[in-house]
Amino acid sequence: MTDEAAIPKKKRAEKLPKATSNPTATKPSLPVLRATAAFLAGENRDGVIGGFALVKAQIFPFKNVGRLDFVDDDDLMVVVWVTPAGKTNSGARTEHLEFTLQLPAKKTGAKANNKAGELMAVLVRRLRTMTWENLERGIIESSDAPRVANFSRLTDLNRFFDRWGEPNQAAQFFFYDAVWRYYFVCYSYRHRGSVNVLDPSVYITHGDFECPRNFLFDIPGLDKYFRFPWNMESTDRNLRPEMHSAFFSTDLDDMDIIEGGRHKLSALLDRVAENPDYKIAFISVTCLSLIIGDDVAAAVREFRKKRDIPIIFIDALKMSIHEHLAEILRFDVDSPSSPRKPTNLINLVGFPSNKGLEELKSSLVESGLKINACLLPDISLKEIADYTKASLQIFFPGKAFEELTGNTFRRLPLKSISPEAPCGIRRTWEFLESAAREGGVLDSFSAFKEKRAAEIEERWAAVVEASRPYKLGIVLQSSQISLLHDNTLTWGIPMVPILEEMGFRLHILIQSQPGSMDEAESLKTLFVDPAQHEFTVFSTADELMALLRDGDFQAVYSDVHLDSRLSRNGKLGFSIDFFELGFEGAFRAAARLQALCATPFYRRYAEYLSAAPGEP
Amino acid sequence: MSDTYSFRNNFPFLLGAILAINAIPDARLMLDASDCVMSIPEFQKNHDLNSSIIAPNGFHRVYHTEADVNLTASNRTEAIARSIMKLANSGEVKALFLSSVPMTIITGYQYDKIMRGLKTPLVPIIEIPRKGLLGDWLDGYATALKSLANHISPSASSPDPRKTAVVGYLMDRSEEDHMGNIRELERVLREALGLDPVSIWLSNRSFEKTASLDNVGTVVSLPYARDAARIVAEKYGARLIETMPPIGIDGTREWISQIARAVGEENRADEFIDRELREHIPKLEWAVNKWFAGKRIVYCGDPYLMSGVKSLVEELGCSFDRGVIFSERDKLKNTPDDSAPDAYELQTSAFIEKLKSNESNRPTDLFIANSIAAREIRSALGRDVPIMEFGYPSYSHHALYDAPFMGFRGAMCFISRMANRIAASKIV
Repeated sequence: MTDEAAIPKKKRAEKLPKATSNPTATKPSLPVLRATAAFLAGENRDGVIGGFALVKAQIFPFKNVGRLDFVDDDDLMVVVWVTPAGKTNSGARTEHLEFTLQLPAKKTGAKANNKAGELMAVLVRRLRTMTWENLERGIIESSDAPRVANFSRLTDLNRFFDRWGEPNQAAQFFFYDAVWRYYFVCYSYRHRGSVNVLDPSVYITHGDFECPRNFLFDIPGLDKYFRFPWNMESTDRNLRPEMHSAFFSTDLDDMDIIEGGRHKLSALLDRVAENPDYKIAFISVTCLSLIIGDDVAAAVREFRKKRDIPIIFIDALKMSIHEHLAEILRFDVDSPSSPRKPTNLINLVGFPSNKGLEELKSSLVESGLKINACLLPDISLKEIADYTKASLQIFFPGKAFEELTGNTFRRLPLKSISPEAPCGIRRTWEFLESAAREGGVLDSFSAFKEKRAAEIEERWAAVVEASRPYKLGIVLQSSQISLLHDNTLTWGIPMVPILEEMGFRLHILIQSQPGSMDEAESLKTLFVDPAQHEFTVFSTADELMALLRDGDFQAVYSDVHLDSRLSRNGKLGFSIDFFELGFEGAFRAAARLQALCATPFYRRYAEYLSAAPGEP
Repeated sequence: MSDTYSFRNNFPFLLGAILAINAIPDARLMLDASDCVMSIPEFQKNHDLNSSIIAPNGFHRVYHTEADVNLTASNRTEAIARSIMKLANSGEVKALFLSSVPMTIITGYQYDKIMRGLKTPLVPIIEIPRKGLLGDWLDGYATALKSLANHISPSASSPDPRKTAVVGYLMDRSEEDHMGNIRELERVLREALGLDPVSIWLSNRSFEKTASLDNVGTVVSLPYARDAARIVAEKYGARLIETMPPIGIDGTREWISQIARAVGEENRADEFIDRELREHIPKLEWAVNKWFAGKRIVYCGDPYLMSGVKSLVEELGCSFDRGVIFSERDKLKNTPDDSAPDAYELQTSAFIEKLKSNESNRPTDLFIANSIAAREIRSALGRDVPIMEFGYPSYSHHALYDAPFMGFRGAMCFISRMANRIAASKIV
């Protein structure tokens, strides 16, 4: 739990994000790209510099990068990903560090290609003098340019489909890092439902026909490769935003490649500017437009003069949801500077937007609180404008929006709390009590609990009894054991404790060294009642398949939709999206899991599934 | 807002190439692209429940070179070669196809040169070349089959006129509608025409089986790959018969008769047609009167199926209207719809305006539409609009049991689906 309301006004002003112009990174020019390529193919071919192995370095110019206020026009930036030299990226989770160096234009005044070469040379010098430990702590000696613009830790930098044929994947069922990138970082996050913009918006793609059409299929209700981490069925509030939005494309053709396509974008933006209905504009630039060098930033600047609406500018160089949405999340901070007087008006941040949330809100209201705003994944301009009327903001645990909220919401002069997710009965009561205490309505909460607790407990006892016959499997690689107790790695949902609370027995299968039982023994301390559960160590994928086939559990955790590793072994898959918030959400989640376990089809007929049609 | 900037209702070239790979279960596709392109194959399972193109164990059948906007301008010859070899030599795979996306097309890489420089790939590597940014999904599919046709080498054996290849069938999924079509086409070729179908391009069969065309003396060309059919016919010295797909009762009868005239089996074909009509037509005696006569049908989807669907619904007494055709306008050249009014790749906003305008005059009794069009129709007219999902993609209609839509059996299945949907919408 944090309380940032006590930060003095002056300090707070410094910490708050500045309302700046729109981030509009220009495309990397060919000289810059060539300099990058020359660097990567040159003396550092093996990628080892000092104590670091260079995973990747991308250099590009930035113009008007709003949040990075020290950046001038024509500055160059290099984003660098490194890992300790000598460590490979095979199988186990590998740590990468990402940081960005900036070379101010005024330092050299040189032409772009020379500047790029200079920046790379500085990077090499810097890497040779740095240590992994310092980098981990965010310490980069910066007595002169380049300055450190950004720093973050990445794990498993590999993209979700980039690990083709890695033998370890056969035994991998948790893909936390890949799922995070897939839904919250990747350029296409908007298509994947990670954010719901509730205001009428216009979505503009500047590029070829093909690129945006790749996402045509990414429509609500379809299975994606990974399961979305939260149950996100539509509610009255979050009905699909595209229903009241417009989508346009400049649809560049071969001639535009030669002659440039900016005129098409400008013409389209002129038409959009005439329409007063759009409250937010998303402008995406495809790789093709970046490569041919259209001056998109200039077109956007012109548009901004005509329409004063938030513009979310997305290109293939800036992948992060955090970079994009900061443009929208501008709060009114002119209100009282001292810590707010407690009221019963609260904000919710980062809570999965579904039926469970609506029910949770009702419980909060019945506990005496009033919901002022509920943001992320929903985005509502009105709720952003009203946000600072509340005195308390409650954050959903987990890392999905962590960086974004850290740079925005958490800097506001509101009391902040981050209780455990209200999943399951016990945690829902604890969540409500925590909110009521901070909101000053403990008496109302007590009355609510008095009214509802007995009925809920009675129903829940029946749920627990009904779950007893069933057993669920969880397959972990040894590097993933923290998933059992670190809720941030399970999207804020304390999955294992909730399964125990529901009454399910568990079979934990851990991939480790042959003959090692230490891992299994150490795990037992993480469970309320380890005697109810089973723990098995395996080492190869073949061993795992035999365990899946012979195990007396009915369903197994998997982040992958329609996982044939399970069906072929007579099991069904479940994932984090089975869980919901609040009391009724807990009942529905338990019912879903019980129904899954009660399905006999795969147990009976698995042996006939080995030669499914469509496979060689 | 002007239609100029509204998204065209069409699918990209890349989709066609991916559908071709999906239909050869032991083939793989390497795309010179970033991982964004994986969006298409990852959604294929929503249309094709049996698709193995994406695998939970990480051995996907479509992969990419990890090219991104920064790397594209650098020398990636080695990286591309490495990616190709990684897939080509990975076991299980029997053929590797290679293609690109707009971002990498404009860099002008000579993939053929890279392929020539590879050291002993274990399997054939076949480029699906692209002409700039031109082409849609049907071009992608046709080009993949044309590349396959260019790749195969006939043995010295002489053509046998009975040995028949069907080239240019759109195998967009391996569910029982398409597998049923394959069975029905083979049955008709055998029973009605006395031919021996040796290969259908494509038919969810292995690369080896697909490419086994020795002694082929007859090539029946379907519109999804005319060039490939011509190339195969030339290579094997086979006679070429260009047809439209056998959709509907009259459409199937015409298809059989056209091939029969070419192979000199008119009498056999007539007997077969008569036998089939005696079996199937009585089942339609009351259905036509009860559900179809006077109804208005709108079709939205693939251009090559349109004339067959039009012929079928008009036979049943319905009027036919085109909604939106998911292709570029050149696809209807030399087809019965060549002179039809313009509705090719109609933009979304224009399509919705047209729908609303039509509905106010005379409501549609049944939309026959793919999932993308169906979504727009529901968005414009409401969720209760009668829609029969058909064609690529079909997300909410799947075929788990024999359900062809080509040939006589296919016509009966298709009519049953239409009847059920119209009937359901009439019951209050």
